[in-house]
Amino acid sequence: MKPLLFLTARTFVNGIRRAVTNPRRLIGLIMALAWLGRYIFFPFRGERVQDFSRANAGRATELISSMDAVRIMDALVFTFFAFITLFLALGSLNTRTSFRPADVDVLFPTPVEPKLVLVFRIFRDYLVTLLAPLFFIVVGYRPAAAGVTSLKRVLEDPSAISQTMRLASIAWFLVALSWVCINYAASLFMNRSDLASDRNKRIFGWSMATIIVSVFGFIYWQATQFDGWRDAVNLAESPVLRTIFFTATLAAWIVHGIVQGEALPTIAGLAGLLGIIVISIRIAMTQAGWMYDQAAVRGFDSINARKLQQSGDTIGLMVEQARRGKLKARRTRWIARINAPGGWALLWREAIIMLRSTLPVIILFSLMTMGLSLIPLFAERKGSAEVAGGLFILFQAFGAFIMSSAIAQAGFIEMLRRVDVQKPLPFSFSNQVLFEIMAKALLAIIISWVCSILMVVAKPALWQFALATMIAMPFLSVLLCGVTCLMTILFPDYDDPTQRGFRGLMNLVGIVASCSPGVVIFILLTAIHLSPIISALIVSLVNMGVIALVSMIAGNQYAQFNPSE
Amino acid sequence: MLEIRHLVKQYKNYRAVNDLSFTIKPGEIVGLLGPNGAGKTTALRCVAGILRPSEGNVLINGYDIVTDQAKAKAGLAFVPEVPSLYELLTVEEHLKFVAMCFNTMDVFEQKKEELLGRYNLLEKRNELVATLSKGMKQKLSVACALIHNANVILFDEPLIGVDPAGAHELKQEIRRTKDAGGSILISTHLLDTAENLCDRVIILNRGTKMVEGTLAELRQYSGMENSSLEDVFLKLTEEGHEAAAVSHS
Repeated sequence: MKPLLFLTARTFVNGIRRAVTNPRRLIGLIMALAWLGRYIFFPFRGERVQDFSRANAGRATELISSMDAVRIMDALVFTFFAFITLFLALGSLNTRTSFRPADVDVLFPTPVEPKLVLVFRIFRDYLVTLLAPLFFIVVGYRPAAAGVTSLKRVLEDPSAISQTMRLASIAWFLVALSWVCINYAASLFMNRSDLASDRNKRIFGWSMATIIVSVFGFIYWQATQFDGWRDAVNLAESPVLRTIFFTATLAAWIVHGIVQGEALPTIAGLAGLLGIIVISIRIAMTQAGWMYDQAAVRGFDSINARKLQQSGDTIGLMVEQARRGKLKARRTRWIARINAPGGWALLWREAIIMLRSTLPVIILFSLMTMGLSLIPLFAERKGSAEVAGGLFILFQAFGAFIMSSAIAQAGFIEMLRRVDVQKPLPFSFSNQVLFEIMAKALLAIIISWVCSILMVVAKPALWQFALATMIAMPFLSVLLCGVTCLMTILFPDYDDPTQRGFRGLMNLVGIVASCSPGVVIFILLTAIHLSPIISALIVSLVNMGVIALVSMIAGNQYAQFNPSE
Repeated sequence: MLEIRHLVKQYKNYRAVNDLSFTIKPGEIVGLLGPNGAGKTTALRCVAGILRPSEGNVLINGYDIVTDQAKAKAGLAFVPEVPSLYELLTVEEHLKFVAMCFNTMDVFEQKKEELLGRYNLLEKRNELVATLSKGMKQKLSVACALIHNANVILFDEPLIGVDPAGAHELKQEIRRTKDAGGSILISTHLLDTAENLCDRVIILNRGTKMVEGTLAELRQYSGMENSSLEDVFLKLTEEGHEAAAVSHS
């Protein structure tokens, strides 16, 4: 155990030390602590909590007068544990053998027993799980406190509430441990490479999904027939829910038994939870010999995926999926047939990669933008055609903005990652950057054109605005992607969360600064009622100038970019 | 001493290692050769106790790596091809962690100074591993393998990414370990390294041992008396010979 404690302690201390000695990381740490502090020390402000408290007091009085307080407390305890159980049970779907690559190379070949490593990990996860309700407490402390105050006002014995809360905290220690052990036992068993692990996981996953959907369906169906809080208490006593959320039931028995001075429910609850813990640990221990095997084969795949998700590296995520055989190469023969000489080859490559890797995102984005484009049609009923047309252009610009900040950013990170392959290509760096920017803007341009055509079909009277969109949007999209490209080159460390956050902020500042001339001119031209098509042409000329400037700066920065730094 | 008996590693429908058997005696260096995807790293990981064999046994100093893991691993060291180290430990802490795992803290201080000096890591001793270059990480990985007195050492492509001085030092180290009675298994693509360093070689192809023996035995087996190991290797892997006809007695 000593080496594992040493490793955990030193990694933690060195991580903190590293964070405070690097100014960029320190800023991130301070911001994170400030955010956390704001929620801990000032969770909720204002009168809404007071209103909530008064409203609850009325409802609570009504409920207490018609029902036994013990049943209400029992229902509250069960609901709390059932809610948390749902989250904990979902954890059983995750692979619990997610080790770091360093564990595989350094720790696994040492004589430290896998069972010891397993116990250490269970203990570590248990401590983390114990802290989970802190999140709910931090966020929901004030409203919950208001509710408790209301209940205290109407209960005959207000001290029962405090006692229940204390006992629930103790029961939580057992519930958390039981789920950590269940999750380890299930994960280690299901991921064994000698068993039909994929089939087992599919069966388990679908069973869990069926249970969750059924539970929510059942609750929804019951809720539609509610006639007051009394029915909510009855629902919490339903044998169906009590069976499915068995750990919550056992925890509620412990609390209920002690508060009421009844030994049987308390003993049954304690014995039930302890039994689950012992059986789960026993199963997990018998599977411990397979833990290293699972970790080495697939364990840290999920860690890599999580890292990529955190860094917003969608392309990297797709590459990771492809590596694991979960991404099929879609046939793009019609694009493959196109001959794209010179820099256009970059656009050709981008189109293939985009279709292959981010098709679901493209479909989602297209549907979202098209949906937004429908809003002006409703606006036209109440306002003028100018308002509807203006809104259409605004939503298209918003779509292009989303596109540049989401998909384009990941694409530029990929561009920097492949700098060794791309820089030797026979184009100037400015041209490379310009084509890269155009490639990233391609999708937003196509979508805006499709939306404009749909708009003309749906509302022919707005054709001028649709045409203006078709003229202006390509330049705006390229400009937005250009700024994103420049910011990605200036702040290229995608592994550093602080730099990532700072890059996002600077990207926003850059977009505001570069788009301002065009936007101001467009507003002025609209104010003097100039044709939207003429306005679009003038704004596009202005944007073209800004694009040239941004591309030039980005090209210079790209030329100096060294991935080793 | 390392003994592998009918080792099999099966992944669903794919058999990465198929019925592999060989023995490495004390004071012997054996090279594990094979084309990409031959199963060399999988075999090494099974021997290191990282992967669990589907069938067969791996005995290290007489202890089974599955049933008697702690005792088997006590005499084992593994140097991976691209070492993944604990980036947030310092160089010295990393060595200490490995020494603690092997329960060899009594000789740690002396051994640590010796290895840090030998692998030019003295100046970096208090630096985080994250700040080290690729070559330095490789050196640290080797130092970690040598921090306890292992007598069975597994090297997966040990000379990749190491500078000439480091490579020379590593070869010396391997020879020193051999002279001290260690059993060494080296998986490598570098045929000249295998030719110069190894007493025997085993050629794996698609998880199956094709041939095992000294260079002279391999030449004789392939009918290429005056050829280099490279020519012999290419001929044997191209022809897809069946498992070991040449036995090492």
